[in-house]
Amino acid sequence: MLEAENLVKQFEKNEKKHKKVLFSAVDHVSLHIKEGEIVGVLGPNGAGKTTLLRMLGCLMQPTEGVVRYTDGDRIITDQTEIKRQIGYLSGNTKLYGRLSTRELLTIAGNIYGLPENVIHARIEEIAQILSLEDFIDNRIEKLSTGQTQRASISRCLIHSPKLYIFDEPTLGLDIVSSSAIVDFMRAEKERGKAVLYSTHYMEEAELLCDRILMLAHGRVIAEGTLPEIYAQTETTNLRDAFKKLIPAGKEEMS
Amino acid sequence: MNFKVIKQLYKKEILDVLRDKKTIIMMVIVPLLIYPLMFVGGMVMMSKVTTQMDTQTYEIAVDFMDTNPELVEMFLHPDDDTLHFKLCDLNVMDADISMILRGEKINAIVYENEDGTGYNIAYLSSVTNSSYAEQKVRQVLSAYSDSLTNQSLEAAGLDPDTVLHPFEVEDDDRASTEETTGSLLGVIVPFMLVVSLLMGTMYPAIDTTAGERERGTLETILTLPVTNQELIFSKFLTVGTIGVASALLNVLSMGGIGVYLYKLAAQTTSMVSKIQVSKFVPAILVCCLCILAFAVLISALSMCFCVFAKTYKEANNYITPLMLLVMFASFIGFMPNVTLTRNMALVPVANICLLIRDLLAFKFSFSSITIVLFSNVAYGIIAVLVLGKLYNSEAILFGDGTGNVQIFERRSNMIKGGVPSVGDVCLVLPVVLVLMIYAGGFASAKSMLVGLLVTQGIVGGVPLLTAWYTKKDMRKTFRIRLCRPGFLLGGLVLMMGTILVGMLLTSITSMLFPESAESMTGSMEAIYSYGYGVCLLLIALLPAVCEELLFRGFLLSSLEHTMKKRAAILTAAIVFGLYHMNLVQTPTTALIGMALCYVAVQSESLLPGMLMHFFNNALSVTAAFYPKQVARVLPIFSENGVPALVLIVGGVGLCVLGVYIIKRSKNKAFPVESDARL
Repeated sequence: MLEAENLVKQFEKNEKKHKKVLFSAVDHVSLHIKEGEIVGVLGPNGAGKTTLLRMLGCLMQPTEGVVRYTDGDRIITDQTEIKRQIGYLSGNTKLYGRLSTRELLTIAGNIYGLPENVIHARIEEIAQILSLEDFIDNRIEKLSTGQTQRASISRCLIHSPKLYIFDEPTLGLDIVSSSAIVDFMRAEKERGKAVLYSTHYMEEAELLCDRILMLAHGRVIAEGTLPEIYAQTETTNLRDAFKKLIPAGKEEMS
Repeated sequence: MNFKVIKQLYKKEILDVLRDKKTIIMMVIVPLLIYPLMFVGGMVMMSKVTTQMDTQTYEIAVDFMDTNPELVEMFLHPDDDTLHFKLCDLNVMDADISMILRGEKINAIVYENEDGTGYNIAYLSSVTNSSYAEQKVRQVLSAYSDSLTNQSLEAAGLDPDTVLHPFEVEDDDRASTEETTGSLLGVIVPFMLVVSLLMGTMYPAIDTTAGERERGTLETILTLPVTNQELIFSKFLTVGTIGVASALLNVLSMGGIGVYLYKLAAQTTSMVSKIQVSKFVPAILVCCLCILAFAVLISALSMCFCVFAKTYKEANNYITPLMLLVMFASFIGFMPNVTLTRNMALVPVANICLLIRDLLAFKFSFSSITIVLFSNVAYGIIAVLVLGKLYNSEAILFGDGTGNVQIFERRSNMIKGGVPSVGDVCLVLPVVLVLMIYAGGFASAKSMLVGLLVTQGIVGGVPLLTAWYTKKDMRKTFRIRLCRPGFLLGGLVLMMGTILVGMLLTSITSMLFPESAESMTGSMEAIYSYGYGVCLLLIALLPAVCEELLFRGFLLSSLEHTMKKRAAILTAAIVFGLYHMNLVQTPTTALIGMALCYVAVQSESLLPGMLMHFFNNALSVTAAFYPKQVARVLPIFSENGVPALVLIVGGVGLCVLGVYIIKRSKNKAFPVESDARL
């Protein structure tokens, strides 16, 4: 469905006084996401998770490598076209506070090129799935954190994408809101959709993910299903596997 | 660009901006509430104060209470009913006049002068009541003087009226009321329009760019299938719409105030003639077009300034110089001796102000209207296109926000070496142009000599300073290196060929734009009055150095780095042509620019270009000072000229020979690279 080949992203960073050097935030990462699976991207802070997801979500141009979306026989490489196929959400995505969720969804639906009647029907459907009915017409600036996060997710659903890319979607949410999101991802998987998501929460990843991609310093240090990761690291849970793979003092997890 | 996407983004931006309190305050409340309150309220208050001042009783101390009862009587019972005085006796010899006046109980003191030939009025110009009292006292004294004159004339058996007014003078103003009103409106309306449009665009420009970035919503919109160009174009449309709406509301408000004041004046005095508003309709319609064209320019400019700011506050800081510059430029409407010539029609901001002034004074010139409207739209579109290219959402979203513009980075973070970025060039060129127009223009008004020095100082200084500030490789950017003599020789031959073809081009453009040709000749004559040596220095040597630094150094090095060499040469040449801001000169200078760019790229040195540039300019100066001698050596400069065919054949022949010599030198200088280059 979504394929990335040898993705590299380089940035300039300050080193010493008056000197800038190039460093690779993502260093030759390849991955493949299939329909109906949840892939978790794990790694300490600064491992390159967000940069990788941004490149896959076509918000960022890779320095090297390609991102490809395959839909049946159709292979899409155009960034705008790929964006049309996926639903991208970042934990710190902000919404337009002066608009209501309904207005936001209508505009997003129109940008995706959906017909008016389909947009209205989708909004009603999404409002039901995410329980937005009570606040869908309120200005987003008036909503609570949990309500805003649900409004954010609703934006990714409007065009019924087959793939979701979520960057730390449960970050900073209370147990009720984060459970709602976890349930949502699981339900979407049941519907045959694919989810690629990054998280710091190991237990959440264990519960949800079919496959895991572990990153450190921009490189893939482990990849596979949960049993494969456990076997590679000779551990029985993700927390221990993580500790074993990431040198001491470098990890940051919950 | 997908216009359906732009429409949706535009809808979102408009909704977002219109729900912002700041926009509503600037767009609706200020013009519709604050202006009327300011104008009408202010005028009502002024009129009340004036009435009070006119009818109040003034306390006057006099030293002639006993000696001049006639004058005292005139003070106590003046012919004019509005004058009211209360007199008190004062011995001026013993009194401290200043002290008495500062006590503010006495408004003015009238006393006989020492030789007894007249009266002095002591008052304080810094105190309003005292100033008013002085005017009133002067009225009485003037009436007293008239009465004495009449008495003397009558005593001599003469008719005072015949002696004092031997003939009548009456005004015969042939201007219609509409014309007079229009010429008055033409002074203030352009300034108000420009400022209101600027204020109207300022907040949405900041809100849709830096504001959006600060609120963190840019990432959200970029997850949708939209391109940078679609995003920037929708923001531009939003800023333009709000700007136009704001300007129209301002016009409406000012129009309303004007009508109210006119009706008020018509009720109170019969002197006000009836104005036929319908006569202003064509002017108003063209003014609306001007507002639209100017909105295109000002919206794009505002966004250019705001788009790289990280915060609302930073954007405010960036846009303030633009605001001041535009306001300064719009003062041109107040200058009665500045007229809308074809050259002036190309100067942004000033052209709109002068055109609106002309339109309101019923001066319609189709060519001026066309040039002003098109130049504004063209500048705006160029600015939007440049902005679309510069607006790198990735750098703005996830980087430090400077995108392609390195000058906004912290200096300590700048990487040493390399050539300027296209973003920096796109910022430096307008800055040079604006400084040239205003600082150079201001200096030229004082002295042509200083003007030329300042202009060339800006042309050479700004790129040098920018390259130094951004820590660029000065040798590489400004091509500071020696070159083989073949490049110098080839460059000179190429330049001679270009001059011949250029002469033909100039004669064609002079026929097309005779007005521009005349104005160019006029300004050159003013410079020639400084003498041959000074002219050679100012017109030939200085531009040869400074313009080469900017165009073949700063600009071309940057373009060469980002586009194909041919495209870079063509772009730099067109910019060089446009920079001369003269319709007659532009095609020829663009052609010369192409030759200069070609040699700079081939030789990788600025020296041949400087020599060629000097040769071209020095030839024009010498031909102007010594026409006969030059014509004897070069018949093309003779009054009869030479046939066009000779110019073409000779010109192209010399160009081919020049290119051949340059290529030969190139092969010798860079044997390995030569094949891969032009």
